[in-house]
Amino acid sequence: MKQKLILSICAFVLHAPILAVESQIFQQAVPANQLPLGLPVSEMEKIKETGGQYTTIENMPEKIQNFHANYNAAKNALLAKRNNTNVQASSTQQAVYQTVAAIKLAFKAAHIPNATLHYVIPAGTQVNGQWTGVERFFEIAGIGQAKLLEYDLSANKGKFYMLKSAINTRVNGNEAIARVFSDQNGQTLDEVVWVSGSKFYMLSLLPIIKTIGITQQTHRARIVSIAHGIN
Amino acid sequence: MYFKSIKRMLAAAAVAALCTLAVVPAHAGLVFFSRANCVNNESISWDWPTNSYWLYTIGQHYRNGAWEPAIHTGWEYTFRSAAVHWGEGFSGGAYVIGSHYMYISGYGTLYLGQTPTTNCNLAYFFPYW
Repeated sequence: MKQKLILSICAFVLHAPILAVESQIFQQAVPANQLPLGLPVSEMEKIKETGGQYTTIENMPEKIQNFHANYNAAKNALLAKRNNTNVQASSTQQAVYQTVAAIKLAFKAAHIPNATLHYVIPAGTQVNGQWTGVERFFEIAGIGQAKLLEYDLSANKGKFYMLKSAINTRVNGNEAIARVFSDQNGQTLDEVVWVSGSKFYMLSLLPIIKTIGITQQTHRARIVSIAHGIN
Repeated sequence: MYFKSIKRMLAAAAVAALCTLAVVPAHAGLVFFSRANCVNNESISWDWPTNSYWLYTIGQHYRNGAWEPAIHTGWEYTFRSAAVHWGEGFSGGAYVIGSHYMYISGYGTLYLGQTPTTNCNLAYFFPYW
């Protein structure tokens, strides 16, 4: 038992630097003025206003509206597909599915623990007939609805240039940015973005319970703990 | 020569319109791809019209033994970013490389990657393009 533990620790120590280096190839923290291709002027102004840091809940009802709109669009597209028996399952015109197995992915989609999968939507591009990205809408019992977007950056030599000033947390040792948005009714959307290995992740959570008065740090801790389980 | 270019552009637009009629509206995540040597030589990042992003697409075309000046769309807040040489695909012989970028507001710039191609096998005929 002791031997197994020592071997596990050795394996982790040996592999951790490699994993860290691998993430660094596909992710780099840079100041706003060094982001590739510059920034739209309005976005640079926003960064100047906030200092590029997120420590409070941001009033952005459109984020919550957008989540609902995309969830409902996926739901309606799947219903339309079921009702239209003339459309082949592999048609790109009806690109919503109920399982990951139904689409050909160029990578292994991350496991999301304690989640009930609702909709799967291919994203990215196709390499040798396989998709390089996927969006999944799912539900975590007792917590809320969520969406996970994954892109395999290795497929097309991609990279995420992360806004250095905004980095405020870590997911499994990887630099990450967590933000919390709210609408006028106290509904929040909690979000975290990170790169692990060659994959870019964006996790968005719409909690069931409206948490008026709860700090951004508490929201952040919750979404990051969910992200920790995704691998 | 001018008339030939106009004819090609009209043909490209007609094909696009026919494809629009043929497609059933659908939902997909943000997709990106390049096409070459069919109708247009183009690189496109696209999502359903209800979703907008800060997108920037660069198209580089190698034709007749030389690289053409790159097409830069610049940053656009849009559902569709396209670096296109309309009708250029009819003459064939092109190698197209697309470079696709998305600025995720407040998070950073996601370089989605490159899409090199010499064909239009990725036949994503989306409506409203």
